[in-house]
Amino acid sequence: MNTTTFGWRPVGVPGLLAWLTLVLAWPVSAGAEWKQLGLGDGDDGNESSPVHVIELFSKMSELPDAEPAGIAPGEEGPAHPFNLGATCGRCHDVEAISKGWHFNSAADGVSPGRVGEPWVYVDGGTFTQVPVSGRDWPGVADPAEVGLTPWEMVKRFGHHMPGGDYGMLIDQGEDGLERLDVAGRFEVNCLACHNGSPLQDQSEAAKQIALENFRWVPTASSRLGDVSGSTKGLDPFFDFEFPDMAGTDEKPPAVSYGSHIFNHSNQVCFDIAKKVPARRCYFCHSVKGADDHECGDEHGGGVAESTGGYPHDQDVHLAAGLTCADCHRNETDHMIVRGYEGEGSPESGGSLRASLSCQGCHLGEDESAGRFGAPRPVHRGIPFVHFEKLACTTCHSGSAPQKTPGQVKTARIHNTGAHYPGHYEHESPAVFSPVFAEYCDDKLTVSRLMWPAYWARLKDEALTAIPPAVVAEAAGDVLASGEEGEGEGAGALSDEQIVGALEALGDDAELGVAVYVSGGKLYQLNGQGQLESSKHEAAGPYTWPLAHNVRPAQQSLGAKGCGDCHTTDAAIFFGEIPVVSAVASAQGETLPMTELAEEDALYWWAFNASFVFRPMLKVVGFSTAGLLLLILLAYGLAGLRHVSRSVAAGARD
Amino acid sequence: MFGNIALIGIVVAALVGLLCLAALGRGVSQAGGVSGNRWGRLLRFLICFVLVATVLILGGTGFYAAIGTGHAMSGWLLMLHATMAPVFCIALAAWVLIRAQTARFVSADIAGDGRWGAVRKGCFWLMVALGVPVILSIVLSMVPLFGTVGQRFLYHTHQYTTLAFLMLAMVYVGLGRCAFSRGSEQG
Repeated sequence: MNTTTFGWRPVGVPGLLAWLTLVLAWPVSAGAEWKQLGLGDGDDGNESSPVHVIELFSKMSELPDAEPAGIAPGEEGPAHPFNLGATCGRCHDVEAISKGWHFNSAADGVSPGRVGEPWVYVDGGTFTQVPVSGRDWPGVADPAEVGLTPWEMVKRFGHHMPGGDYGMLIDQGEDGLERLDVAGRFEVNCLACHNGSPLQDQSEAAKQIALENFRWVPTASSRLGDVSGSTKGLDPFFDFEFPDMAGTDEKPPAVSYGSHIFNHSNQVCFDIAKKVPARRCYFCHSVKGADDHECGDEHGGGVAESTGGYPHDQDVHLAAGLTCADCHRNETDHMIVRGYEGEGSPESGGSLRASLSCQGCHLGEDESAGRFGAPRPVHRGIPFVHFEKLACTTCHSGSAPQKTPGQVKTARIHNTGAHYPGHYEHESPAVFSPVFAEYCDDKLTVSRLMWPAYWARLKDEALTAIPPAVVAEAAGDVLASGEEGEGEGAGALSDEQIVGALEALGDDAELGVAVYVSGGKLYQLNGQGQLESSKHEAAGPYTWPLAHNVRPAQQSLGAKGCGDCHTTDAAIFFGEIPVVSAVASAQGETLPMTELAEEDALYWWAFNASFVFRPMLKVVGFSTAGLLLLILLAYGLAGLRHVSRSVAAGARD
Repeated sequence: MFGNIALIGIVVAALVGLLCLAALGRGVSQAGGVSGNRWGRLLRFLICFVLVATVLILGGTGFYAAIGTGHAMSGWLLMLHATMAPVFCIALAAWVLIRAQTARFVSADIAGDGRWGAVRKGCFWLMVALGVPVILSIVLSMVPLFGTVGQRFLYHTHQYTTLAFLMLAMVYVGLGRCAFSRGSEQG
């Protein structure tokens, strides 16, 4: 045997037996291991992307022990939508992934982190617009509190959900339980983010949600199959194996796959992007001006901001070649990095997570600083107290502050981005940006703001929202009796309507007195049955920080000097935020920016006014320092001369 | 850390000043007296009064923040501090101008006659020298020359030089009962 060529060594019988054991046992152990551990998870260090030519599997039953079935073209019977849990789950740990940040708002025990953008439950009939989230953020209502079941959550907000989360809890509610077998669960749609194909159509996903075709979302949105029909109106016991049994008024969902997408092994090619392209993120994370103007608002309002459509510029990071997923990354657990200061703990990879924040990349001191070539800012002339009092985004993100913040529309709140017949953007709620508020870190942070309006119970200074359905049942007639009209306050609630509704809701000894919250005020009946309004901490606006778009350094606050902020009419301090109230008698009010930030307006006016004297202070300072130096020099030289004379005289003596 | 250092420094300087005041209070002649006409004396008094007042206000506001809160000054304290700063600069410059001549070191100081007067003169000139970084460290932070690292350096410079200035001022006041040596006028 040529050991030099092949490197084989004579190993003898024991070695031969060991080799045979390994070879014969490999298919069994490897096969079992391949299916259980998640072949596609983790990172083997190879930069190339695995090619996903794989079989499709469907799962038309929601029973826990239901087995997925392979999908093949030309097979007998109706074509079924593919199930990503069954298809992707052969190689990926879908269960672990489904606990990720995008899918865990309804889960217990998940740290909510910094407040974020909520869903907004709008019910015009009861003059309700309340921020809702499963996360324990201050100022939001839990979906159950306002009568939203998981089914309702998906129906209302599924248009901009990636699946999972409430989509997996549909059966926790009578309405969802009844429709579960027909509509299916809205499972995690991996392709919503990871499909690199330009055919991935989240607008189609939104349409399927509207048609209650939850099980068909991945198939339709990926455009691998055409989906027609709807589960709406289908009998809860409808059998998809026999679609012809449908009544004349029912058109159940039907899937049609093109034979061209399958290869000879009944496999389909997925263009999978491990690093999610920015265009995937944009469907849910876009912002536009509600009243877009090119160069400012001639009505004196704010300049609209946008994620990047003309005439607005892209975020500087994207313009520099980064994508969203360069910073907002995750491990297999899909606990995506949100990127704010103080996020994460050391146990959860905190140091790496911290390095993906503004300060981590641009101002970090450890070896991970300067990621992606992030320039290190010098911040010339800016006293470091600014970095203790202000978040990085305050000076660098969003649109430039204006006296009156502009209105924006976000993809998730206002349902933008979908383009199917019957779709419409929401006009409510009004979201204002930029505003400046403080959060747990006591840093002034640029934010967006909306004004909640809802009926609630007040007990022990705490508000608990009343479900709009309960309000409608108790006071629907009163609330519908308002006058139509035009102009400011048209269609708004009158004081009489509020009184009538509060009386109809009545007080509850256990739950508390009935109140109405709108425009930052709390409306309740006093002992004489008269309406009283007051400011209440829990009735204030809901704000959440924004981070994008990041403006170039030349456009950041302070780039043109202290006067960007330290003037007596600077928007960051003295802006006036329009108060949106459903109450007719409270129209046209504004909220000073200092009040939102809980700052002393008088102090800031005086401090900013003092900047007028700053040049004089500099002149006085430099002059007196120069004078002192001259005096030191003069007397110092005189002293030196005296000393030298004395020494010389001593030497002569 | 600066808060602790400042507290110790101020206490020590105050004790030294008081000791000097007590020890030197008797048996020291007021050599020379204050010369000049009434308006000159009034002007000198006014300058000294303003200087002492501004030092007290600036020191009080600044060291209250450092020792009391442990954070940088903010709010109305900062406003008061910043308002008094130019007044202090002008008062310091005027005081140095009127006192520099009499505070010159003379042969008697070198010979050791009236050593406490020489010490007091030393405090004077050290305060003059410290006045430069005290003022420049803050004024330079207001121009776009220094980045964050430089700003922190200037801030710490201001902290420690003002502490030294205040300590010297306390000792200078404590030595106030001893005159500058008779030879000062002759130079």
